[in-house]
Amino acid sequence: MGKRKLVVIGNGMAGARAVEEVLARGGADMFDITMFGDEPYGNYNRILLSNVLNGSQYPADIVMNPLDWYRDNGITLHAGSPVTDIDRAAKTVRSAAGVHVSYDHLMIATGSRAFIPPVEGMTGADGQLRHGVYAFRTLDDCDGIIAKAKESRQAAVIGGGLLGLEAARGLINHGCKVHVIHIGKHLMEQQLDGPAGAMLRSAMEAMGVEVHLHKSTTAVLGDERGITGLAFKDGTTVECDLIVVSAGIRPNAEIGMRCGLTVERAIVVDDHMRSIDDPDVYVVGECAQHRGRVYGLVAPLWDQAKVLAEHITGRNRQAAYHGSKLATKLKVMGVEVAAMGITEPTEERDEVVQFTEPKRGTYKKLIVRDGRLVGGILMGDISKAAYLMQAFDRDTPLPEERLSLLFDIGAPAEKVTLEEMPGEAQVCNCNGVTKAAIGACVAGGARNASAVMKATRGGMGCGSCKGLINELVDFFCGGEAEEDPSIHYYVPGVPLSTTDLIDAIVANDLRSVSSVFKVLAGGKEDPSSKPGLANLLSTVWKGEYEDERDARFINDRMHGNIQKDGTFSVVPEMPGGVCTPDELKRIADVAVKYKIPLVKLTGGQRIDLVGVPRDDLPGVWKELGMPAGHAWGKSYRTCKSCIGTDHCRFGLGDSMALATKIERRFRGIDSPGKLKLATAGCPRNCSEAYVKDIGAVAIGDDKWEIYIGGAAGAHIRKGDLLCVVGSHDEALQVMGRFMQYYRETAKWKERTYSYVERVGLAKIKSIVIDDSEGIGDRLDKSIQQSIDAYRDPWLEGQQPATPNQFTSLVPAEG
Amino acid sequence: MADSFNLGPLAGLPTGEGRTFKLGDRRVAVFRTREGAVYATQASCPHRTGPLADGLLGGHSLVCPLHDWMFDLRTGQSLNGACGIKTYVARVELNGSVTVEVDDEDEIVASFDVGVRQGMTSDIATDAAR
Ligand code: SRM
Ligand SMILES: Cc1cc2nc3c(=O)[nH]c(=O)nc-3n(C[C@H](O)[C@H](O)[C@H](O)COP(=O)(O)OP(=O)(O)OC[C@H]3O[C@@H](n4cnc5c(N)ncnc54)[C@H](O)[C@@H]3O)c2cc1C
Ligand code: SF4
Ligand code: FES
Repeated sequence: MGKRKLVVIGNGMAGARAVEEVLARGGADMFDITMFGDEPYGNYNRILLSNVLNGSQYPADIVMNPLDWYRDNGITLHAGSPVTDIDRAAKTVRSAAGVHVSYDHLMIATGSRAFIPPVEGMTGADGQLRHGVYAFRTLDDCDGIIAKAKESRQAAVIGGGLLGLEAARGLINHGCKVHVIHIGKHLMEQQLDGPAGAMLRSAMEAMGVEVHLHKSTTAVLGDERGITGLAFKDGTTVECDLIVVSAGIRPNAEIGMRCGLTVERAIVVDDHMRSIDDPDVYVVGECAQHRGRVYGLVAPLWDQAKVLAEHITGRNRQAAYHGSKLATKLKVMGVEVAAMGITEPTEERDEVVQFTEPKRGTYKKLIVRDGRLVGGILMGDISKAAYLMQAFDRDTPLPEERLSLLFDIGAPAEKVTLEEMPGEAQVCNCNGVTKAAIGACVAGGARNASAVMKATRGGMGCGSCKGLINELVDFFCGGEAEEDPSIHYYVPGVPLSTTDLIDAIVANDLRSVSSVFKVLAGGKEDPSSKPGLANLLSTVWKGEYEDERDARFINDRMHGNIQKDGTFSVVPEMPGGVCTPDELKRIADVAVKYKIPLVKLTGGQRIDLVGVPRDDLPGVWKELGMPAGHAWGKSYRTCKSCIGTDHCRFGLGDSMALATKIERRFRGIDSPGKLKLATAGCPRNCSEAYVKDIGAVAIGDDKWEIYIGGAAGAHIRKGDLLCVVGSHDEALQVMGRFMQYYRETAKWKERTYSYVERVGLAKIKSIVIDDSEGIGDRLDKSIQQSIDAYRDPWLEGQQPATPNQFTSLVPAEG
Repeated sequence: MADSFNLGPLAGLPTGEGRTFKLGDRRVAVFRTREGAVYATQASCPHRTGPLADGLLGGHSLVCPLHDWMFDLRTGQSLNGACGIKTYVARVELNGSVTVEVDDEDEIVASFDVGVRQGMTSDIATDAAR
């Protein structure tokens, strides 16, 4: 029997998911699938646009079905090609690009679009939104908003619902002043009651968003040069040069109407997700109206897609959709809100359980009817959200002890809850993953949470269900979930821990990165693991390894930090922030001669020549006549210092001299993560030594406290006191020994702040200070060998290691 | 229409690395894999114009140096995103020299790129997302 033709209109979350469900039921053998999408991309996770807008994810991170997926599954995709007509009599569809195809079955999954309220000045003469006004629905919208936000000073979001607040939060990150304009009495009226709305408002205002309630927008102000503000019915105005409209959605149902399907608020479907007018036309997602309801969230469409797939593939012709109950979480960093069902009691028998702590921004309210949850609002502390959403969705009876609904009091045995949880219960709402799907994945061989997450996409959306997934995986593994083994590997591409890898490298006499892959990773070269291996080989073999240049990250090939435009930065060594007037002059001369775009003091107490094209690097290095500052690699970086005893009236130790000795000794030493050091002349800590990978703080009588594992970058941690030493030399010895132990036992890119926590201070102390394993001498020798093997990489400027190393554009021969 | 360019002997390309060449009006990244094959692609990453020739190679996978987008050098297809790159025909001639054919098809630019958080390393970006 030949394959039937399945044509899908709409390549969004519902369309792509329905096709995935069809394929999962052997659909590839039954159907030739053609998909049309208005947007020019594969399917992406629309709900994560909020993260793209706030900058925490890249567009590439939210792609769910890349173009390869379509190809691999034999699906013909017409992206960027909206369908304009459906001819139900002839069973064909036609797209704007002129593609004309026939179908046996049609699936309409056109979703919805932003509702644009009829406000004066919102659209231009062409009916399109005018420049500076954006909807918030697609990647292109997001792109437009971000580009505009860069030059914008004040932004206004029309609509104080879920989406509007997420947009407002995102805009804050682009540095504009943000207003939220809301027509209602309080924010998120659909999901919250008055008090919760008021608390949410304070939380948003604390973040710098100005909230305007009871405002009905009447006009967008401005002229052909751009928009300047908004005017409201009450005569007031707000200044803004960027507007995001988030005032609700409208289903894209016109296409159904034009071909004669019944359309009310959206295209009307039966319980099999078929149009009530035509058994060959299925409708799924936000463009479908089922039992009078139209949905605007993803959870319903996961269920709809399953029913549709069961039906169309004939797996189960009785499969029926019964509607969904809605629960939501607000995806605004710093404000935790979860809500479900009704917001106020509506019947006399409704019982309200409530707790408020306005100072801490905590608000919890549950509405219970006949012992079951019919509504709930959680703000501030949403730790019970997973449980409550489940109870709400499944209509399960609630415990008599109502207090336990709001708080974990002697937590109910977790196991029981997981066991009771029905298989169809949605665990990950972002990607529609059920408890049963996690169970199946475990049954199929996955033994740890990261493998399950990778296979099911569960937990890969907003991430709020990761904890539950971990618990479930453990539950399905009978409490014996394995850890993801790769978290113990030095690099992901070679399945060995750091110490095992070093042993294997030595035992097999492996001296190049390619030979490590050959012998220890089955010959499979993982590009991202190469720099880590090159670094480790240099730690193991010192100068005596085969330096394959391609294994190095570009920074380590060019001995500078690559910048966004492909140029490099040049930071010469300047121990403790000290340089001679002569050096300062040379830096200035070089900057003038080579027209260096930017000369900047770094946070590491030295001078950065920024924006040097690679062709100039050899010249710049040579004329500076200063050693490399190693501001680019995973290696020893710098040692900052305060003034210390030489000049400071409080100084208890010579911090500048110690910093200089440290830098001259450890310069360029490779290490799993960056090593940033500092010395402070007294505990006033002006050079921030407490928050460095290694810090030395003078406490008088030539004594220095040595701290390790401090950080003040993306993570902030005060270092742990490793020991107190009695001289500069002792300080250098302890530091070197710790560095070497770290080099031999840490994972690639593991900074000391996580390493020290993982290994434990006690263990590090016993090895480095008490020499409990008797390896102290060996560690000292080993770091000394690395120090002896050091060679200033900038010398390479005069003797390039590879052809055209310092040429940005190589001409052809002809 | 394709113009053929001679890039000189294979030895001019270091093993496992890439270089950016000026071929007519175009900038083209040319790579030599560890296995000895030669590939040519557009020079700039479709994401944010990162210099692809400076990326890391493993087999035929290429990782852009700026934010780790990955591409298959043989086909130009993306290995971790939605957007691929343009490839050019490249080969090693019998006499050992490298030839690249430059056609005038468009290079690929990710149309949905949004320029947020420039210079953020991808692992920090995903950290923040967690
Ligand atoms: C140049 C400099 C900024 C400046 O102008 O002051 C700088 C620039 C960069 N830092 Fe930094 N950091 C600079 C001082 C710091 C400091 C302050 C310090 O050293 O006292 C910190 C906090 C201390 C720390 O690391 O704990 C710092 C914490 C980071 C981090 C966060 C590391 C972490 O795990 O918390 C990153 C990201 C990373 O490593 O992945 C980073 C990454 C970067 C990179 C390399 C981004 C990258 O991965 O490409 C930046 C290169 C920009 C460029 O175009 O060259 N930079 N960076 C500073 C150079 C100092 C120097 O002289 O060597
Ligand atoms: C910023 C944002 C945040 C959100 N956050 C959440 C959240 O946290 N939780 C939640 O549950 N929901 C959230 N949502 C809602 C969720 O994204 C939608 O419910 C979901 O995307 C609906 O899927 P769909 O397939 O019906 O529509 P869509 O995903 O919009 O897909 C429809 C696709 O069809 C295309 N199309 C339309 N007409 C045609 C045509 N004629 N021919 C071809 N193609 C066409 C459209 O371009 C679109 O790509 C959010 C939405 C946005 C915009
Ligand atoms: S903080 Fe560091 S990594 Fe971030 S933009 Fe500044 S220099 Fe770049
Ligand atoms: S520029 Fe290539 S990944 Fe960003």
